[in-house]
This record gives sequence, C-alpha cells and structure tokens, in this order.
Amino acid sequence: MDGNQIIAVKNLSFSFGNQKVLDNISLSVPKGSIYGFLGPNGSGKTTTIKLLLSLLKNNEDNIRLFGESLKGNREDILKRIGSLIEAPALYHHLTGFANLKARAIIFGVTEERIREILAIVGLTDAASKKAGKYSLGMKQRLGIGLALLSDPELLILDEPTNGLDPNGIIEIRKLIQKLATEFGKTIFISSHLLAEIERIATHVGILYHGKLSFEGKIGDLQGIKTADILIETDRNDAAKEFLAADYTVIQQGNVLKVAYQSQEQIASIVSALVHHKINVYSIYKEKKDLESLFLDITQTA
Amino acid sequence: MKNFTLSLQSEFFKSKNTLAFWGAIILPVFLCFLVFGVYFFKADDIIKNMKNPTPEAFWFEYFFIILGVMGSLLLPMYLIFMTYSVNNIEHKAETWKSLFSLPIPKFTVYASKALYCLILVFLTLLLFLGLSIGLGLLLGKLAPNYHLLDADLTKLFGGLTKIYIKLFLSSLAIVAIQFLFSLIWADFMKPMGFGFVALITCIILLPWEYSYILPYSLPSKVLSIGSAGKEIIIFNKEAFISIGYAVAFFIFGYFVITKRSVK
Repeated sequence: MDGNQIIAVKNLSFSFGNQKVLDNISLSVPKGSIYGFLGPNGSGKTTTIKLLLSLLKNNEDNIRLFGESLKGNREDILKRIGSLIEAPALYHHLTGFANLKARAIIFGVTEERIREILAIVGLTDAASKKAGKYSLGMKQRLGIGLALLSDPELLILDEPTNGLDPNGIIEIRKLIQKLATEFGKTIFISSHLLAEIERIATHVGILYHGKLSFEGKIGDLQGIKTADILIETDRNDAAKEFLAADYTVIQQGNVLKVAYQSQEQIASIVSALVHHKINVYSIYKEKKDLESLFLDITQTA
Repeated sequence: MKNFTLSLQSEFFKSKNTLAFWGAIILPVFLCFLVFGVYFFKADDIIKNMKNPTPEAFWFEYFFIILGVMGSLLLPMYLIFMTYSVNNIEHKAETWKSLFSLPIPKFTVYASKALYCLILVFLTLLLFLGLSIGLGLLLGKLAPNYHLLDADLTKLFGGLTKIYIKLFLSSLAIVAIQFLFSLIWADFMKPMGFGFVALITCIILLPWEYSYILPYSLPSKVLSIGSAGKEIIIFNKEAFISIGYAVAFFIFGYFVITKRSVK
C-alpha cells in the first residue's frame, strides 16, 4: 500500500437491513489533498464517513487510515482525525468558548489553544456568545473549530456548506483552503454541490447510488464533458442536419443540444449556421448539473 | 483512567448550568429549609400536637417529614428527570456521533456519563443528610422548647446516615433503568412516561409481599424499614436487589450502545 495514502478503502460495501447503501467502493485519499467526496443526497456519503469514523459497525477489514487498519486501531486512528458530521453538534446552552472547552478537557488541550482555534475559525469576538444564538455559518465554523482542537492530521467534513448563504459558503471555503495551505491538513470534504467542490478540491471521488463512479484529480474531472451548448434557430431541422455532420445533436423541444468543447467551438457553430442562412435566436452554454454529470460518468464508465 | 477522569470532568463542565445539576442542589436546599421554617415558626403548635414530646421523638418526626416527602416521591421523580436530562444534553445537541468519534473507548464515554448520574444522586442525598442534621442542630439552638440537643445525637445521626446510605443504594436500580431508556429514546415522553408509570405502579404495589423485587418501590421500602424503629441493616435483601438491577442494566446498556450504530 502506498504510504502516502491517508485514507485507503478497498471494496467497501454496507447495508442498512436489506437496503444496500454502499456497493464495493474503493477510495484513495493522498496526503495533503483536499478530497471532494461528491454525490447527490442519499448516495451514501455520510454512511461512508460514519464508517471511516467507526460510528457504523463494519465487519470487514477494508478501511485503512494513515496506513493502519481501522479494525483494532480505532482510538489511535481517531486521535489523528477531526470530524464534522452533518449539522455541527453543539451544546446550545454553552458559549462558543465553553463548547470548545468541554471538548478540550477530554483532549487535555489548553485554553490558549482554544483561543487560537477561535481565531482560526474567526469566532474570537463571538466566543462569549451562546452557541444557540450563532448563525448557521458561525455554528459550522465552531463545528470545524471543534474538529481542529486536537490538531489532527486529517479533517473529515460532511457537507460543511449545507444550508449556508453565499457569504457563509465563501467563509467556509476560505477556511478550508487556509487549513490545507497554511496548516497542512489533509481534508476529506463531502458535498452535493459540484461547483463548490470544483473550487477547492485537488482530488475528487464521485459517489452515485452507492457506487464510486469516478475518482481522480480535479483536472481529470474537467476532462469529462461538463457542459452543453443550447441553440435555438428559425430552422431547427436544417440546423440539426447540418450540425450532425460534426457533433452529436439532441433535439429537446425548440432547443438543440450539442456537447460543449470550447469557446471557439461556439463561435464556429454560430458562423457556420449564419453562413448557411439559418437565423440563430439564441445560443448559450449550460453548465451540467451534478445529476447530468453523474449520468455522463455512469454512461461512459 | 486518565481518559475516564477527563471525560467525567467534561460531563460536569457541560452540565453545570443545567437543571439536572442544579436540581441536585435546589431540591434538598428547598425542602430542608422549608421544613426548618415550619418547625421554627410553628414550634408551639407542633409541641402541642405531639403525644410523646421527647427530644428523640422531635428529631424522628423532623427527619421523617423530609424523608417521607423526598424518599417516596421526590427522589424517584428526580432520578427519572435527572437521567433523562443528563442524556438529553447529547440528544438535543446531536452530539452522540461526535462523542463516539472521539479517540477514547466507547466504554469511557458511557461509564463517565453513568457515574456522573450516580455522583448527582450521591450529592443530592449528601445535601439532604447534611442539611437535615445542620438545620436540626440550628433548630436546637433557636427553638430550645424542642430540647433537641438533649437527645442521643450520635445514635440519631448514625441511624439517619444509614437510612441515606440505604436510599442511595435503593436508587441505583432506578438510575440504571432510566439511564438506559433515556439513552435509547431521545424524545421526552418515552423515558419520562415509562418512569412515572413504573413509579406509580410500584407505589400501588407496595403492600404486595414480593414488592421488594420491584425496582421503583425500593426507596419507599427503605423508609418503611427506617420508620419501623428496627435496627437498620444497610446491606439487606432490598439493597442487593437494587445493586443487582443496577449492575445488570448498566452492563446491558453498554452492550446496547456499543452494538448500536450511531445514526
């Protein structure tokens, strides 16, 4: 096994009763990476994370973290992980500082470290405010602060931008980038938002219906068709016939769809259509949503 | 062991501003001061109404007013509420998953919580004992008509201490059962509802000859033994039954928790 792999999962399957949630997935998360674990809701992301943290019972010995098997080394491994699973688990009756302190007591962490964490997650000014009065973004940041308390090598964050407004999303994104670049953490982050993962991740794993459809560097994902060109003309039949010589064209109502390759491709389509006296009413690039991307990946797989 | 101590410390820290913790203090303080106030302001009426107003009889009645209210009803109700409240902190904050993903054994998380409940019970009973004796002695000074200080205090206080030790032991069964249910059930109604129904049922069944096997009737059993004026034996049948229930339910609870996946 490659010693550079922080997480190495091999042929992991998991069922809740008769319902198969994970089907033979293998993951490989390199040290120092921001690994985006992408998938629509219900695809099995949180289940995978709970298995990585030994919260769900796994009878197989197929999860290795830091080169060690999770089975039999649970506590040693968990010492090196900080996690935020689903919504941040906070005691609302305690202040932000006290929430960190309640956890710091268990880790034997000093109050100075708590203040450092508050500064990292940008909550120094709100430290004495009750966590119940925090905004969702602040709660997420405090949740990440809790995960950081023991100075772990690996951070596992489950949908940390879920439910946040655009400002909150930007704050969390910056924080994650800072943790990776300034503090050298390996970060495993799950999300159902492709655009979000594209912005921060160095590596991506895509989970769809419990199967890993894709795993690789973010650049490899860009190689997969990620957008369509949508064209409306006055003579769609003629335009379709003409474009079909070079591209696969799909007609959906009044719109023709061609897979996007480059900006130059759009320009050449426009000029060719105009040249053939076909009036173009509209032409635009439509980014694929996650669902379509999954379909592409599963179809090409 | 270090993990366990730190985990226990953390339990104290996070629940220090909750009703579970303050209940352990407020309950004995309120009840003991209330009874003290009645005895202080109504001394003449109380003396007049007593058939045999010896100092021992005053002490006995004074202790058992507190014990009677507390032991048969308030204490079991507090146990049901407190165990719910200690676990509800985690249910409400959805912190079970983060607690069980800490690098400490699951047993440590479980046992520190269970011990914390027992410490709260111990604290509340210790306060009852201390305040009963302390305020009784103060009453002896402030209301000399009772002649409380003329009694054999060593014997009286020794007997009372034994009764409180027995109350603590008899509470163990209820704590363990309620602790398990409030751990499994997140919603308020199930553990509290079960607890109150079980308590009322067991109180109704007190006259039954085998009522000593009913965990929720054990604190009341202690009072009936204490009030009968017989020699008080701490480790009697009821005490062992309570300890037996506690051991069984605490062990069972641990296996339930470790086998259960954290949703």
